[in-house]
Amino acid sequence: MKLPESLAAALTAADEAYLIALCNKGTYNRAKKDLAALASPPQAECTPDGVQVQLGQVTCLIRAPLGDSRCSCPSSAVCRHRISAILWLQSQLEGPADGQAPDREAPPPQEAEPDFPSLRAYPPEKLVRQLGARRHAADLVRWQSGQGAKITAGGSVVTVELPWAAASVRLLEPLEHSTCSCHSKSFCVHKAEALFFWQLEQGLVPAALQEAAPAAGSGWDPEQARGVCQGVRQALAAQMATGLSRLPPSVCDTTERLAALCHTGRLPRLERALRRLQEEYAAYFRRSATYRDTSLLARFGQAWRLAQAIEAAPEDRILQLAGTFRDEYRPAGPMQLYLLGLRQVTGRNNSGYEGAVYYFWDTEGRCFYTYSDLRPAFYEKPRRRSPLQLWGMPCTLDQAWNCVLRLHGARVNGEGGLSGTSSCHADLGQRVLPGEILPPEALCTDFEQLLQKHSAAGLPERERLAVVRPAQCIPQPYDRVQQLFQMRLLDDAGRDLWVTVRYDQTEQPVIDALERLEAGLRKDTARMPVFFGTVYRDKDLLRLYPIEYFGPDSWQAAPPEEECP
Amino acid sequence: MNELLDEMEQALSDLLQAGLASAGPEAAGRLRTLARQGEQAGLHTGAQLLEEVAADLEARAHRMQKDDQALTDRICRAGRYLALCRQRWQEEAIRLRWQGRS
Repeated sequence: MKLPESLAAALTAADEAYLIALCNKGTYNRAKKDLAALASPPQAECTPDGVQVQLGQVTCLIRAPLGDSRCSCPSSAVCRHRISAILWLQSQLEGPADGQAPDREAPPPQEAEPDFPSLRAYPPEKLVRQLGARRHAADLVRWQSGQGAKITAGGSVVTVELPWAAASVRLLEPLEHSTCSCHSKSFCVHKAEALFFWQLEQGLVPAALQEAAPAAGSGWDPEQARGVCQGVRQALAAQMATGLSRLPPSVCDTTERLAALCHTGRLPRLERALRRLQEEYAAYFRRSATYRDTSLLARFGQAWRLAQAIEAAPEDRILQLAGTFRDEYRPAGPMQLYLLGLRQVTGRNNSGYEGAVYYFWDTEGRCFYTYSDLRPAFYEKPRRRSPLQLWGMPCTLDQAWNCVLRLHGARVNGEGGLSGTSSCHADLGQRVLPGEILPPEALCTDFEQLLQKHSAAGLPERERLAVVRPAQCIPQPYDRVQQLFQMRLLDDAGRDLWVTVRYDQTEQPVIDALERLEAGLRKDTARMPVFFGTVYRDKDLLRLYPIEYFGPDSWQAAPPEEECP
Repeated sequence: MNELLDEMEQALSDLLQAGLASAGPEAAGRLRTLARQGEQAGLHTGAQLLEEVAADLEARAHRMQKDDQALTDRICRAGRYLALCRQRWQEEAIRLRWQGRS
């Protein structure tokens, strides 16, 4: 029987793996048995649409591509009748006259590796749009960390396993006949992910699409954002024209309303800048001793410049300037962390949020991570909450201080923030002194290094964290004018670093602890503590805000005394 | 240098305190003086920015239509410039202090 060329080519190319991928292994095996058990050989007739094959009472129309074949049975998917008809037609091509399926155990003749033209031709840009920004970013992280999809290319089928989605996709030629374990008939997200990983492996994805773009989310309107920024600038210009001395206290409410407008307009960075400005206004009107004109000018300028930049930005840049409400948390694999310290945060310090920030040392990555337990305090004080328990630990996070935690399934964002996701669990290790965990190179004894690497104004907090061991520690009198508690630390070369805490009601416990340290140092000047904190510059002084300090006994166990001979 | 930066910053803060509408000719004069001092100290960009703010402040008094956004923009740019200068100066000042030459 002479078959159309395209159908003959499709039948020749379709191996067992391909036919199984079109349906499933059970259907394929059943089709073979049905074909072998047929009472009479099938009848075939060529039509303009394909080849009509009569199998008993069922009629199949087999055409190229094979996935487009039809059957008179009610099944919409590729049924056992279609597979039987395909197998029979293949046998007709190969020669046996009795209608039985050829021996599939015999190795097929050597064929060229399939090229998968439709898989190659699918535009990567379209794939990225179908995945969405969040999934695209997560897939890139998986690919770059070597934890991407498992791809097996076997003959005419590419099998892609997606362990995080518990899905398995078989990519076929043509693409529309690919199948997924989720049984979706359409081009589901698993198929899109599978094709994306295959194209990454084949080097078909351009470099621009191998970087995660910021996610806009649905309903983000650049024109609305520009309108909000224009309104913000008008309001700020009006405040500048009136002057702080003539502004009513309601300017705090006005600025807060602008921040809320930015929140609705999905401009989180501008919202945070305006909330910081609002705090400065509030400090001015309540005559806070910590208010500074220059600080107000700086925050006013930050809000103004950001609003101006967003308003003038092109489409591809505006989302980056707008910022994100919550950073994407991405898989970080297993981690071993050590809880080094924590810091209480008030609204003044953190643009309207209150709570605590926990600082961890990553023993393998040798860097710091943080976990922020913060709640908004714009409108009312956050309610008192029960102590924080995370990651399935048997104790609170505070109780895990100075303990080693082994995290499984941890997720981190781009700023080194840890996620409190319930899919992560931690094994609590024993309490260990920090000197036994932190390597010697993590302990800073040279303050020139602090100046160069940890103190620039624009650095994020994580990069300004430092563990410092001074050679000398000189207590200073309390500065009643500026309300500063200070201690002067010296390194071996005589360079100084000033431990500084500006008085605030919430900082009283910190100041009390440091005063106790001072008293201890006056009695015993040889036992230098180790400080952990954030470094910053203030005029011609290098300063450290202390998050934690460790006395010699609480830093490292003393070496055993040598026995007398 | 630190004192000059402090004075420039204070002049801009005072402008924010008093307001553009109430600043008066003294404010423009003060900014011009600081611009000259900045030019002598090598802060050419800062001097130009302060000079522009002074000129806009003076011109504002004689206009019916006040373009406060443009003037606010200049003031904020000048503030940002001063902040960047201060960062650079701070690093040097800390080192000089350590070397005992401040």
